[in-house]
Amino acid sequence: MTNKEKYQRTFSVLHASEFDLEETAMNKRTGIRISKRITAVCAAAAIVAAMSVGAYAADIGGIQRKVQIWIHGDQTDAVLDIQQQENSTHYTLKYTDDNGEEREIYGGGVAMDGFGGERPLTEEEIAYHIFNTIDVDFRDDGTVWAYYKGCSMDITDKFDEDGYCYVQLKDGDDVKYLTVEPDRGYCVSDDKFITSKD
Amino acid sequence: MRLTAEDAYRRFADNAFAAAFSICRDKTDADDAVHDTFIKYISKNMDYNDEEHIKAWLLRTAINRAKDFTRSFARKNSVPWEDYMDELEFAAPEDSELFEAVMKLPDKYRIVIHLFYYEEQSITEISETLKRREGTVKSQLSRGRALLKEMLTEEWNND
Repeated sequence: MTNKEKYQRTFSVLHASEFDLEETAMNKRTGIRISKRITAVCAAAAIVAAMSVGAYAADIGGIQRKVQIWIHGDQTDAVLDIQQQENSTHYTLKYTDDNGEEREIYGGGVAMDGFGGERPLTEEEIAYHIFNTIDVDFRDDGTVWAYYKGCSMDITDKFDEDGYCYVQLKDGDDVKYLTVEPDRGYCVSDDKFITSKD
Repeated sequence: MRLTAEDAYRRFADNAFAAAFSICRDKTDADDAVHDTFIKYISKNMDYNDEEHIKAWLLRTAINRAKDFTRSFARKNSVPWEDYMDELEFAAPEDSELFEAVMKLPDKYRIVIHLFYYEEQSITEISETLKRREGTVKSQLSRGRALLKEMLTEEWNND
Protein backbone atom coordinates (compact mmCIF):
# COMPACT_ATOMS: atom_id res chain seq x y z
CA MET A 1 0.00 0.00 0.00
CA THR A 2 1.39 3.42 -0.94
CA ASN A 3 1.71 6.33 1.46
CA LYS A 4 -1.08 8.08 -0.41
CA GLU A 5 -3.42 5.12 0.01
CA LYS A 6 -2.55 4.82 3.69
CA TYR A 7 -3.11 8.51 4.23
CA GLN A 8 -6.44 8.54 2.40
CA ARG A 9 -7.71 5.51 4.30
CA THR A 10 -6.66 7.07 7.60
CA PHE A 11 -8.24 10.47 7.03
CA SER A 12 -11.39 9.12 5.45
CA VAL A 13 -12.68 8.68 9.03
CA LEU A 14 -13.16 12.43 9.27
CA HIS A 15 -16.66 13.61 8.45
CA ALA A 16 -18.31 16.99 8.64
CA SER A 17 -21.32 17.23 10.92
CA GLU A 18 -24.68 17.58 9.27
CA PHE A 19 -26.31 20.97 9.40
CA ASP A 20 -29.46 22.38 8.00
CA LEU A 21 -28.72 24.15 4.75
CA GLU A 22 -32.26 25.52 4.60
CA GLU A 23 -31.81 27.06 8.00
CA THR A 24 -28.50 28.43 6.85
CA ALA A 25 -30.13 30.01 3.84
CA MET A 26 -32.80 31.48 6.06
CA ASN A 27 -30.19 32.91 8.41
CA LYS A 28 -28.44 34.37 5.41
CA ARG A 29 -31.60 36.23 4.53
CA THR A 30 -32.03 37.52 8.06
CA GLY A 31 -28.41 38.58 8.00
CA ILE A 32 -27.20 37.08 11.26
CA ARG A 33 -25.14 33.97 11.81
CA ILE A 34 -24.06 32.71 15.16
CA SER A 35 -21.38 30.07 15.37
CA LYS A 36 -22.54 26.53 16.02
CA ARG A 37 -20.04 26.60 18.85
CA ILE A 38 -22.43 28.73 20.86
CA THR A 39 -25.27 26.28 20.53
CA ALA A 40 -23.05 23.30 21.12
CA VAL A 41 -21.42 24.69 24.19
CA CYS A 42 -24.58 26.08 25.66
CA ALA A 43 -26.32 22.78 25.18
CA ALA A 44 -23.45 20.88 26.76
CA ALA A 45 -23.41 23.16 29.74
CA ALA A 46 -27.19 23.10 29.99
CA ILE A 47 -27.39 26.82 30.16
CA VAL A 48 -30.06 29.32 29.45
CA ALA A 49 -28.71 32.81 29.72
CA ALA A 50 -30.78 35.84 30.43
CA MET A 51 -29.85 39.25 31.68
CA SER A 52 -31.78 41.23 34.18
CA VAL A 53 -32.60 44.76 33.18
CA GLY A 54 -29.66 47.05 33.70
CA ALA A 55 -27.19 44.36 34.69
CA TYR A 56 -25.36 44.63 31.41
CA ALA A 57 -24.37 48.18 32.16
CA ALA A 58 -22.32 47.20 35.18
CA ASP A 59 -18.84 47.45 33.71
CA ILE A 60 -16.04 45.96 35.76
CA GLY A 61 -13.18 47.14 33.58
CA GLY A 62 -12.18 46.70 29.96
CA ILE A 63 -14.93 45.01 28.02
CA GLN A 64 -15.82 42.64 30.83
CA ARG A 65 -19.20 43.05 32.37
CA LYS A 66 -21.00 41.58 35.34
CA VAL A 67 -24.25 40.04 34.19
CA GLN A 68 -26.92 37.79 35.57
CA ILE A 69 -27.74 34.64 33.65
CA TRP A 70 -30.49 32.11 34.05
CA ILE A 71 -29.20 28.59 34.62
CA HIS A 72 -32.15 26.25 34.42
CA GLY A 73 -34.39 28.76 36.09
CA ASP A 74 -31.89 29.99 38.68
CA GLN A 75 -30.48 33.46 38.30
CA THR A 76 -26.73 33.45 38.68
CA ASP A 77 -24.01 36.10 38.58
CA ALA A 78 -21.53 35.77 35.75
CA VAL A 79 -18.79 37.73 34.05
CA LEU A 80 -19.19 38.35 30.33
CA ASP A 81 -16.02 39.04 28.37
CA ILE A 82 -16.52 40.08 24.74
CA GLN A 83 -13.55 40.24 22.39
CA GLN A 84 -13.83 41.59 18.88
CA GLN A 85 -11.39 40.05 16.45
CA GLU A 86 -10.61 41.02 12.90
CA ASN A 87 -13.18 38.69 11.37
CA SER A 88 -15.48 37.70 14.19
CA THR A 89 -16.53 38.44 17.74
CA HIS A 90 -16.08 36.00 20.60
CA TYR A 91 -17.31 35.89 24.15
CA THR A 92 -16.70 34.03 27.37
CA LEU A 93 -19.19 33.75 30.23
CA LYS A 94 -17.79 32.65 33.57
CA TYR A 95 -19.89 31.73 36.56
CA THR A 96 -19.89 29.48 39.62
CA ASP A 97 -22.35 26.61 39.64
CA ASP A 98 -24.34 25.20 42.54
CA ASN A 99 -21.43 22.95 43.53
CA GLY A 100 -19.04 25.88 43.73
CA GLU A 101 -17.25 24.90 40.54
CA GLU A 102 -16.09 27.51 38.06
CA ARG A 103 -17.91 27.10 34.76
CA GLU A 104 -17.28 28.70 31.42
CA ILE A 105 -19.41 29.19 28.33
CA TYR A 106 -17.89 30.57 25.22
CA GLY A 107 -18.87 31.31 21.66
CA GLY A 108 -18.61 33.72 18.81
CA GLY A 109 -19.99 34.61 15.44
CA VAL A 110 -20.24 36.78 12.40
CA ALA A 111 -23.02 38.75 10.75
CA MET A 112 -23.56 38.43 7.04
CA ASP A 113 -25.22 40.74 4.60
CA GLY A 114 -27.24 39.58 1.63
CA PHE A 115 -24.25 39.82 -0.66
CA GLY A 116 -21.97 37.41 1.17
CA GLY A 117 -20.07 40.11 3.05
CA GLU A 118 -19.15 39.41 6.66
CA ARG A 119 -18.52 41.54 9.70
CA PRO A 120 -17.90 40.73 13.33
CA LEU A 121 -21.03 40.70 15.45
CA THR A 122 -21.51 43.76 17.61
CA GLU A 123 -21.53 43.47 21.38
CA GLU A 124 -25.26 44.13 21.33
CA GLU A 125 -25.86 41.24 18.92
CA ILE A 126 -23.74 38.88 21.03
CA ALA A 127 -25.58 39.97 24.16
CA TYR A 128 -28.97 39.59 22.46
CA HIS A 129 -28.07 36.05 21.45
CA ILE A 130 -26.80 35.08 24.88
CA PHE A 131 -29.78 36.47 26.69
CA ASN A 132 -32.37 35.02 24.34
CA THR A 133 -30.99 31.51 24.09
CA ILE A 134 -33.41 28.62 24.53
CA ASP A 135 -32.11 25.39 25.97
CA VAL A 136 -33.53 21.89 26.02
CA ASP A 137 -32.29 19.51 28.70
CA PHE A 138 -32.66 15.74 28.32
CA ARG A 139 -32.23 14.65 31.92
CA ASP A 140 -30.89 11.35 33.15
CA ASP A 141 -34.28 10.54 34.71
CA GLY A 142 -35.87 10.55 31.26
CA THR A 143 -37.66 13.86 31.55
CA VAL A 144 -37.16 16.65 29.04
CA TRP A 145 -37.17 20.32 30.05
CA ALA A 146 -37.18 23.50 28.03
CA TYR A 147 -35.84 26.79 29.35
CA TYR A 148 -36.23 30.33 28.11
CA LYS A 149 -35.09 33.21 30.29
CA GLY A 150 -36.89 32.70 33.61
CA CYS A 151 -39.33 30.22 32.13
CA SER A 152 -38.90 26.47 32.54
CA MET A 153 -41.26 23.76 31.36
CA ASP A 154 -41.41 19.98 31.62
CA ILE A 155 -42.11 18.94 28.02
CA THR A 156 -41.67 15.21 28.53
CA ASP A 157 -45.30 14.43 27.68
CA LYS A 158 -45.58 16.86 24.81
CA PHE A 159 -43.89 14.74 22.15
CA ASP A 160 -46.17 13.44 19.42
CA GLU A 161 -46.16 9.91 18.01
CA ASP A 162 -43.52 10.89 15.46
CA GLY A 163 -41.18 12.05 18.19
CA TYR A 164 -41.66 15.79 17.63
CA CYS A 165 -42.53 18.29 20.31
CA TYR A 166 -44.04 21.73 19.66
CA VAL A 167 -44.25 24.18 22.54
CA GLN A 168 -44.57 27.91 23.04
CA LEU A 169 -42.27 29.51 25.59
CA LYS A 170 -43.25 32.88 26.99
CA ASP A 171 -41.34 35.46 28.93
CA GLY A 172 -43.57 38.48 29.39
CA ASP A 173 -44.58 39.53 25.91
CA ASP A 174 -41.82 37.52 24.27
CA VAL A 175 -43.05 34.30 22.70
CA LYS A 176 -40.80 31.67 21.16
CA TYR A 177 -41.98 28.67 19.16
CA LEU A 178 -39.81 25.67 19.98
CA THR A 179 -39.69 22.49 17.93
CA VAL A 180 -37.79 19.56 19.42
CA GLU A 181 -36.88 16.84 16.94
CA PRO A 182 -36.58 13.08 17.43
CA ASP A 183 -32.78 13.25 17.24
CA ARG A 184 -32.76 15.72 20.15
CA GLY A 185 -32.02 18.63 17.88
CA TYR A 186 -34.25 21.64 18.19
CA CYS A 187 -35.06 24.86 16.41
CA VAL A 188 -36.76 28.07 17.41
CA SER A 189 -38.82 30.65 15.58
CA ASP A 190 -40.32 33.96 16.65
CA ASP A 191 -43.53 33.52 14.67
CA LYS A 192 -44.39 29.88 14.00
CA PHE A 193 -43.50 26.28 14.72
CA ILE A 194 -40.82 24.98 12.40
CA THR A 195 -41.87 21.61 11.03
CA SER A 196 -40.08 18.97 9.01
CA LYS A 197 -41.89 20.37 5.94
CA ASP A 198 -40.30 23.81 6.34
CA MET B 1 -21.60 26.15 -13.58
CA ARG B 2 -22.89 25.83 -10.08
CA LEU B 3 -23.92 22.93 -7.85
CA THR B 4 -26.80 23.33 -5.45
CA ALA B 5 -25.64 23.81 -1.88
CA GLU B 6 -26.97 20.35 -1.03
CA ASP B 7 -25.00 18.71 -3.84
CA ALA B 8 -21.86 20.66 -3.05
CA TYR B 9 -22.19 19.73 0.61
CA ARG B 10 -22.77 16.05 -0.11
CA ARG B 11 -19.75 15.87 -2.39
CA PHE B 12 -17.22 18.12 -0.71
CA ALA B 13 -18.13 18.80 2.92
CA ASP B 14 -15.94 15.94 4.19
CA ASN B 15 -12.99 17.21 2.16
CA ALA B 16 -13.48 20.70 3.55
CA PHE B 17 -13.80 19.30 7.06
CA ALA B 18 -10.62 17.20 6.79
CA ALA B 19 -8.66 20.16 5.44
CA ALA B 20 -9.99 22.45 8.17
CA PHE B 21 -9.25 19.83 10.80
CA SER B 22 -5.68 19.52 9.59
CA ILE B 23 -5.32 23.23 10.28
CA CYS B 24 -7.07 23.58 13.63
CA ARG B 25 -7.08 19.99 14.99
CA ASP B 26 -10.43 20.67 16.64
CA LYS B 27 -13.73 19.12 15.60
CA THR B 28 -15.91 22.05 16.63
CA ASP B 29 -13.70 24.59 14.92
CA ALA B 30 -13.50 22.44 11.79
CA ASP B 31 -17.29 22.06 11.74
CA ASP B 32 -17.67 25.80 12.18
CA ALA B 33 -15.22 26.41 9.36
CA VAL B 34 -17.24 24.13 7.07
CA HIS B 35 -20.48 25.75 8.18
CA ASP B 36 -19.13 29.23 7.44
CA THR B 37 -17.74 28.03 4.13
CA PHE B 38 -21.12 26.80 2.93
CA ILE B 39 -22.83 29.95 4.14
CA LYS B 40 -20.41 31.83 1.92
CA TYR B 41 -21.05 29.41 -0.91
CA ILE B 42 -24.79 30.02 -0.65
CA SER B 43 -24.41 33.77 -0.22
CA LYS B 44 -21.90 34.51 -2.95
CA ASN B 45 -23.77 32.66 -5.67
CA MET B 46 -20.61 32.58 -7.78
CA ASP B 47 -20.20 30.91 -11.13
CA TYR B 48 -17.54 28.20 -11.31
CA ASN B 49 -15.66 26.63 -14.19
CA ASP B 50 -16.29 23.04 -13.12
CA GLU B 51 -16.65 20.84 -10.05
CA GLU B 52 -12.91 20.91 -9.38
CA HIS B 53 -13.13 24.69 -9.25
CA ILE B 54 -15.94 24.45 -6.70
CA LYS B 55 -13.96 21.97 -4.63
CA ALA B 56 -10.83 24.14 -4.75
CA TRP B 57 -12.84 27.20 -3.66
CA LEU B 58 -14.47 25.29 -0.80
CA LEU B 59 -11.12 23.89 0.37
CA ARG B 60 -9.41 27.27 0.28
CA THR B 61 -12.28 28.98 2.11
CA ALA B 62 -12.50 26.28 4.78
CA ILE B 63 -8.73 26.40 5.32
CA ASN B 64 -8.74 30.18 5.67
CA ARG B 65 -11.66 30.05 8.07
CA ALA B 66 -9.94 27.37 10.15
CA LYS B 67 -6.85 29.60 10.30
CA ASP B 68 -9.05 32.37 11.70
CA PHE B 69 -10.17 30.00 14.44
CA THR B 70 -6.60 29.05 15.34
CA ARG B 71 -5.98 32.72 16.01
CA SER B 72 -9.10 33.02 18.14
CA PHE B 73 -8.84 33.26 21.89
CA ALA B 74 -11.75 30.86 22.21
CA ARG B 75 -9.45 28.03 21.17
CA LYS B 76 -8.09 27.84 24.67
CA ASN B 77 -11.26 25.87 25.39
CA SER B 78 -10.92 23.48 22.50
CA VAL B 79 -11.11 19.71 22.87
CA PRO B 80 -7.66 18.10 22.47
CA TRP B 81 -7.33 16.19 19.22
CA GLU B 82 -6.15 13.19 21.24
CA ASP B 83 -9.60 13.01 22.83
CA TYR B 84 -11.33 13.32 19.46
CA MET B 85 -9.17 10.47 18.17
CA ASP B 86 -10.91 8.15 20.62
CA GLU B 87 -14.17 8.73 18.75
CA LEU B 88 -12.72 7.84 15.37
CA GLU B 89 -12.99 4.33 14.02
CA PHE B 90 -9.80 3.63 12.12
CA ALA B 91 -9.72 0.71 9.73
CA ALA B 92 -6.37 -0.52 11.03
CA PRO B 93 -4.16 0.16 14.06
CA GLU B 94 -1.44 1.69 11.91
CA ASP B 95 -3.97 4.26 10.70
CA SER B 96 -4.26 5.73 14.18
CA GLU B 97 -0.45 5.89 14.35
CA LEU B 98 -0.37 7.79 11.07
CA PHE B 99 -3.15 10.11 12.23
CA GLU B 100 -1.28 10.81 15.44
CA ALA B 101 1.99 11.42 13.60
CA VAL B 102 0.32 13.89 11.23
CA MET B 103 -1.33 15.71 14.12
CA LYS B 104 2.09 16.10 15.72
CA LEU B 105 3.56 17.76 12.65
CA PRO B 106 4.12 21.51 12.81
CA ASP B 107 1.12 23.41 11.40
CA LYS B 108 2.90 24.64 8.28
CA TYR B 109 3.82 21.09 7.23
CA ARG B 110 0.56 19.42 8.22
CA ILE B 111 -1.73 21.17 5.74
CA VAL B 112 0.77 20.74 2.91
CA ILE B 113 1.02 17.02 3.64
CA HIS B 114 -2.76 16.79 3.78
CA LEU B 115 -3.35 18.51 0.46
CA PHE B 116 -0.67 16.41 -1.21
CA TYR B 117 -1.68 12.98 0.09
CA TYR B 118 -5.40 13.34 0.69
CA GLU B 119 -6.47 15.80 -2.00
CA GLU B 120 -3.76 14.65 -4.41
CA GLN B 121 -2.92 18.25 -5.21
CA SER B 122 0.26 19.07 -7.10
CA ILE B 123 2.90 21.45 -5.75
CA THR B 124 1.45 24.18 -7.97
CA GLU B 125 -2.10 23.52 -6.77
CA ILE B 126 -1.03 23.53 -3.12
CA SER B 127 0.80 26.76 -3.76
CA GLU B 128 -2.41 28.30 -5.12
CA THR B 129 -4.58 26.92 -2.34
CA LEU B 130 -2.33 28.15 0.46
CA LYS B 131 -0.97 31.24 -1.29
CA ARG B 132 2.55 30.06 -0.62
CA ARG B 133 5.43 30.06 -3.10
CA GLU B 134 6.04 26.76 -4.89
CA GLY B 135 9.57 26.56 -3.53
CA THR B 136 8.23 26.96 0.00
CA VAL B 137 5.59 24.28 -0.56
CA LYS B 138 8.19 21.92 -1.99
CA SER B 139 10.52 22.28 0.97
CA GLN B 140 7.66 22.05 3.48
CA LEU B 141 6.40 18.89 1.82
CA SER B 142 9.87 17.41 1.88
CA ARG B 143 10.39 18.31 5.53
CA GLY B 144 6.95 17.01 6.48
CA ARG B 145 7.60 13.70 4.78
CA ALA B 146 10.96 13.38 6.53
CA LEU B 147 9.33 13.99 9.90
CA LEU B 148 6.66 11.38 9.18
CA LYS B 149 9.38 8.92 8.22
CA GLU B 150 11.19 9.64 11.49
CA MET B 151 8.04 9.03 13.52
CA LEU B 152 6.61 6.07 11.60
CA THR B 153 9.84 4.39 10.39
CA GLU B 154 8.90 1.29 8.44
CA GLU B 155 5.18 2.17 8.39
CA TRP B 156 5.98 5.08 6.07
CA ASN B 157 7.37 4.22 2.65
CA ASN B 158 9.93 6.15 0.66
CA ASP B 159 7.56 6.61 -2.28
